[in-house]
Amino acid sequence: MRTVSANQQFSFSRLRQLTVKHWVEHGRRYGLSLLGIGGLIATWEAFAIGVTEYAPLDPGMQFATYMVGLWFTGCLFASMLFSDLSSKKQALPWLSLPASHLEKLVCALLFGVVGFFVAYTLVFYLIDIPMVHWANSILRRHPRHWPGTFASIPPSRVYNFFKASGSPVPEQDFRMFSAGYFAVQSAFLLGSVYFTRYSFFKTVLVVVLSFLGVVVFQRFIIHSMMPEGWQSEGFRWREQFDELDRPMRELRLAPAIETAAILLAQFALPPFFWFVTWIRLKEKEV
Amino acid sequence: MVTIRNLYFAYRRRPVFTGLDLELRPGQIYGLFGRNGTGKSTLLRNIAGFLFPQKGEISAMGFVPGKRQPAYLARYFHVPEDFQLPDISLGRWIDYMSPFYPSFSLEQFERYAREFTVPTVGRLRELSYGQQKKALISLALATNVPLLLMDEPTNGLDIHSKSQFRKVIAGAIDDSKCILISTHQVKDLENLIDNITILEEGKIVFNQPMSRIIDKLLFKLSFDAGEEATALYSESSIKGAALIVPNAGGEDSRPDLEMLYKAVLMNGEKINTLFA
Repeated sequence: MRTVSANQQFSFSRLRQLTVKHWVEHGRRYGLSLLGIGGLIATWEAFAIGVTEYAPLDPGMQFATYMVGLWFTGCLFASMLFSDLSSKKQALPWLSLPASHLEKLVCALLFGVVGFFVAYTLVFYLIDIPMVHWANSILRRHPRHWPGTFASIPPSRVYNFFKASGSPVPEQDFRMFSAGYFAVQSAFLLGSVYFTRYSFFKTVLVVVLSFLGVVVFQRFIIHSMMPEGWQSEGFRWREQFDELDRPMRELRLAPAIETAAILLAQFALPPFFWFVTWIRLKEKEV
Repeated sequence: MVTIRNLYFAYRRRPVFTGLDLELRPGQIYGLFGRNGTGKSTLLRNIAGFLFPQKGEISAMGFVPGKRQPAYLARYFHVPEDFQLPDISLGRWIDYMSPFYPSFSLEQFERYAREFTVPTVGRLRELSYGQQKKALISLALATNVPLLLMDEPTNGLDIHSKSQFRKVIAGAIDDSKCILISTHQVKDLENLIDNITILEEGKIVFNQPMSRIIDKLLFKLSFDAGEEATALYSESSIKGAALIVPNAGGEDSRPDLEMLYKAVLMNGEKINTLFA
């Protein structure tokens, strides 16, 4: 057999060519999709301003709009990244294009994970900032009080998603939520290779069933094995709380192990799914 | 260039190849014939690395196709029967496809596109199926890859384009290249191929170069009923019976590929004994 050089796995030159190819073939569609997403966000926020009596675009609403949009469109987009593989007439040229599976995966990640996240966030702020200013200008013209009080409703701030301070959810939960997005989106990316047809719906089903499986495992299996009065919370196990809401006894991992476990839970899932996607791409037959 | 040994392949429970052997050499145009569903496209896809053999091995230019290494992918081009070109202009398509193939020649591409009269303006998806196919074949030839795999390339081409196809392919082959053309339209490849390979029920039932076919078989018309009765294959026509008979006298004749194909399917064992 022929001996081949190491760059059969990865070459920046081929990745650049792939990126150019991907952009030329799909750039127009992506541009239109982003316009559509921007239009939906604008319509939703305008609707919220129109129908909400008090502080329509408070940080909580902006957070919800950003996250729901990101999760839904991000997962939908990821499930279409390898949709070429579901059709024979598109899959054959895709597989025979002279680039490695790793380069094809990295190209998909650049567009689907990095590019999409950046583009979505930019589009969101392009819509959200003027919308918040619009909502605030309405409030300035028609000052209002919180219902049943004399406290004025303050103008809304544009919510900063990259700083957890002021988040409507606790900082730790927010970080888990953001990390969760990348993990779930990566599962959809894998689903687009794994399932030949209806990959989005099938992946939704698998993700929901997996989540239910974890809940059932935690609720019925782990819980039933714990001593009476104990409960688990992430990587900590506590006996019932006293009247001051302090745990009577707490069992926890060594700090370094606990930190490592939390970091793994937050950041290891996306690379794990990417790795499995790469393996599946190598095994893909058409 | 391509060596296939003891190839076994099955779709779920339907076996396609059970111990297939084949050797493809450079400088040759191979015509791969067979009925629908006999495994012509499957064989091409195994060579291209789209499908993996269950048993046996395929070596193509020293590569294992199933690994789909970029160095191998850059050395062959697969023209599928059914395809979809991107919704962009021909120029942009060539701009980004050509860097993937180190031996690509723009001059050649322009020449082939001109010969095939492929429109160079407008988007690729606006072209007819036949025009798109000709654009794809032009790209495939201009990449100058050593191995060209073509699956039913004449499907969708009009009569004029089919003859242009034969002319262009004949001009594109050289000692370093091998072209494997799979088709069930045997007539389309007449006067083009150097070697006939016939697949039947997942096995190669006939695999001979044209030069040997001319040496061993005689294609003739005859009104002699006795000759017709002893022929390897015969077909009645108003001009007499078209026959394939052993070429005992070393006469020259023009092989009729369609007749030969049918003869092999009906009387393969007897014909193959002549080539043993």
